[in-house]
Amino acid sequence: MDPIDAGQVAVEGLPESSGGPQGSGNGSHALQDDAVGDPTSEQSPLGKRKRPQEEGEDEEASPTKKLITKEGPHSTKVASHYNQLQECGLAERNKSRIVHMRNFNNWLKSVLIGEILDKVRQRQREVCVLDLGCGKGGDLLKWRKGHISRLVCADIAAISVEQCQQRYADMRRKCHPNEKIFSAEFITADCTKELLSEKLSNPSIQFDVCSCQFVYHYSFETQQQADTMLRNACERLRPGGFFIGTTPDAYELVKRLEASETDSFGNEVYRVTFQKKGEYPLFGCQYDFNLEGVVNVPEFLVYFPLFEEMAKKYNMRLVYKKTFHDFFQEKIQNEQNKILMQRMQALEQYPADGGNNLASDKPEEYEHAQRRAEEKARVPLGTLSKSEWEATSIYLVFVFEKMS
Amino acid sequence: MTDSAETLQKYEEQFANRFTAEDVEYQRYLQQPVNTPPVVEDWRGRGAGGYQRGRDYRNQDQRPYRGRDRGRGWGWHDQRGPPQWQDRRWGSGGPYQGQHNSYNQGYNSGGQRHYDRY
Repeated sequence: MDPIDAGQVAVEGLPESSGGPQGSGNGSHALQDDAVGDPTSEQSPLGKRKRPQEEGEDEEASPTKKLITKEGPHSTKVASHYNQLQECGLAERNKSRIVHMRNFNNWLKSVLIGEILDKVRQRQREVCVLDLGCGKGGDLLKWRKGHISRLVCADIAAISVEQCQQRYADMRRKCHPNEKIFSAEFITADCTKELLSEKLSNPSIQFDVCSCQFVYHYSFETQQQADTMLRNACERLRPGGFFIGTTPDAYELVKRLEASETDSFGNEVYRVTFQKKGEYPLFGCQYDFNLEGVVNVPEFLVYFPLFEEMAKKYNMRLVYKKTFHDFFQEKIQNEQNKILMQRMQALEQYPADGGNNLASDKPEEYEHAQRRAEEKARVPLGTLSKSEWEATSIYLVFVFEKMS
Repeated sequence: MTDSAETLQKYEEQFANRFTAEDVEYQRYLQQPVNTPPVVEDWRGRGAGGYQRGRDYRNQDQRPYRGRDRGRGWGWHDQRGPPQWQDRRWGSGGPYQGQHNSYNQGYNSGGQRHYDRY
């Protein structure tokens, strides 16, 4: 029996936010501060489950996500991995070779969440969110700044959920007396095998948004698990609600694998190793993703057209899908997003200031920026090292909308 | 055969050409140029005026956005689906119109000291 399958850890019956005209702030604002500097948030850009990519930043940090995988040894392995992770200080993480990549991922999620909350709020004030694969609560600050009313956090790793709950409690304790923070509920469950609807304190609750950051691909080990995860994400969404997330792009993974002479590819920052090249089963197509030598939890290829087809069962329609590259190109056009990016240090300065070093000492890691600088681009530039970019550009952003 | 097995078989047939020369979307993806890392000009990083750890920015003002809002919105009109979808959803007639969504609301007063320093 999977030790992690425990049930609900706790339910906090905090007063529900009456939510005033949330005129003050929308998602994006909200998201903005944070990232860097809020001791209550973790850093982790990519998401939760994570790979190192995600861990860090501010919010996100939760490794837990990955856990959401299957049963048996794999799930156990994932949950165990995350449960064993120690929370380390922000300063420590900032020393990381991939800190800007993690910040970049966190920025991307902030923009995604902020804009979706804006969109939802166009039709209603009270917003209810399901954070599926919440990890240690890396996105809590985003939900706070997005002025949601209710949050349900679910994850496979009990310790991560406990940390998430603690972080939430700290947030409430430290907030201004006049600030109404969303109420929250915390559930420990393997969402690829258990139905969340049976664990909710209010079984009839309807979510406006389900956010699944860097986690959904763990469910693709079997058809049943992928379907259960999808059901958990979508069945309690209200019509017009959104299922948003980030996941590796199978096209990019296979493209890089096919270009490799072995069953593996990567660089000094990350490495992906498939079990076999040339055969890509719809479910259970496993590969290992190693980031900065950390986290080596098996993941599963998600062939997106299949994902999209499976979602139809829950009346979900794909309304947006973009690679991280394309998402960045689109969103950076907005000045507020650029400001947020600077605040979050989602890119590193090139050339570096006198007292700072670049994340990598290798000039070839910054050839793209050097070239732009020589082309008379207005310096200093903000960029990522080539290796960090190769690691994070594997991902894509998706948004499904519930039709009925 | 169970429902699950039938469904899987259906998927296998539907996606039998995945990652092959007949996978049109994948082939289109392969034609795209390799992405280079992001580059943003006039970057205001950690130097003077950059983000300072420990400082509370929450009550600070945001500089009103003055330009065209090219980056806003999801561009869902680029996706398949009825073209009217965007109009229906993106607030024509609602309180948040066009680019003036809540990103630029709230966060009043206070001056623009933070960004004006740049």
